Amino acid sequence: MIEEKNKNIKLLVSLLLVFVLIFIIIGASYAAFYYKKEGKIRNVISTRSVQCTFNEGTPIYIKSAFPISDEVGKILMTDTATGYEQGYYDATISCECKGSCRGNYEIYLTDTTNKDSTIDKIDDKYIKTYVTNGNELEQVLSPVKTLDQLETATTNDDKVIYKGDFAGTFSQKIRLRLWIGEDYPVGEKVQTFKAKINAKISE
Amino acid sequence: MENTESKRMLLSVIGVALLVVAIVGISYAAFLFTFDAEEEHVMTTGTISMSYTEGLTNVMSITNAIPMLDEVGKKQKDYFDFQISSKIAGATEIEYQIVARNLTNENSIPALNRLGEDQVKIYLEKSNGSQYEQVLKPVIFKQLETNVDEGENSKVLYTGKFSSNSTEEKTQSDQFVLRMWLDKNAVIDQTSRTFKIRIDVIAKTIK
Repeated sequence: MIEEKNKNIKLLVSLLLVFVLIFIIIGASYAAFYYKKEGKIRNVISTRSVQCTFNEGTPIYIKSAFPISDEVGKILMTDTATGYEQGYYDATISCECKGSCRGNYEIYLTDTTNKDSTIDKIDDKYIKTYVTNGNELEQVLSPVKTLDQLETATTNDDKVIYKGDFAGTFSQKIRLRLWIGEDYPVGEKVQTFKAKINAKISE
Repeated sequence: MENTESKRMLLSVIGVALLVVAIVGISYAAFLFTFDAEEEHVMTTGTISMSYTEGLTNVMSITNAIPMLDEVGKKQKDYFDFQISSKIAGATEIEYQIVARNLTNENSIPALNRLGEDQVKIYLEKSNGSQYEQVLKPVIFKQLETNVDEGENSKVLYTGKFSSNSTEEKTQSDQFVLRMWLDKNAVIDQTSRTFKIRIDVIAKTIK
């Protein structure tokens, strides 16, 4: 009998505590005395916000390309008459941070050539890559490398075009050039290379 | 027993508190953004093919040759004609060389019966579409420029080009006629002598 009574009391106390907790949060109260004054100090609690974008330019499109030297490849522009319909690719990766944010980003190349089994693919060792920051002086971000020399990305078998770290709001432009190296053996058959450039930003 | 009950009560209170915190949602989470491109970058290669067709209408085989003047040699009916063709897709330039390789010193011709390079004149014409024009004036074979890469026995007769500035496939052809005769100053005696050459074509891209 007494035990049951104790049990009931304890249950009641528990319920009471829960209700008190809820009321603290919801803030329902009844006061006999009413007083109101607005404080001048603003006590703020806010969450941080991070907004990231990856803005791309026109993709590279080179038709009937022949091997060229690195000196020529590094300054490739667009020349539709000779098949360089779009000789380079510009992209900008950026994040706007309100509050603290720190992390890294990766711009990587996904080879999509083999999606079409009828295509005869250019061997990676003949495809040259070169990355600058795309401004007037074209500061080099990644020197000339063949596709098979690029670092493997964190995503499957993709290749890293460029990567970096950031702390706070940042913006990074890249300019990518692709060409066929001088050692490529030109023949009678057309060979093709296709790819997509993707990006990842993480904390 | 009482201890157990107290523990249960405490756990209940903590549980409710956690529930409330979860609802309010004050939390901190790391971010991850991924951007997948829609468009592809594409690069295709240009192509080159070449062909060399010998003896379009005639192959030269002169027997019982006698020394003759250049004016006669240039018009003789014994000649060797050939065609060099290319198919190019893309912007590039190909340089080709017509090379005469002296085969006279082969073991099949005894040394006694070999005719010297200084005794033979060689002459080359190229078609301009409607007629043939001189591109190599009559010259003693020995005086021709040597193609060093191909060896001392290889003499350059002519250097030509095929070029393309278009991504569309372009076919081009050059036709030639070669004549050879015994120079007017050649010394002949009772021994029969032979001079044998082969015409090769060597090409490479220069742009």
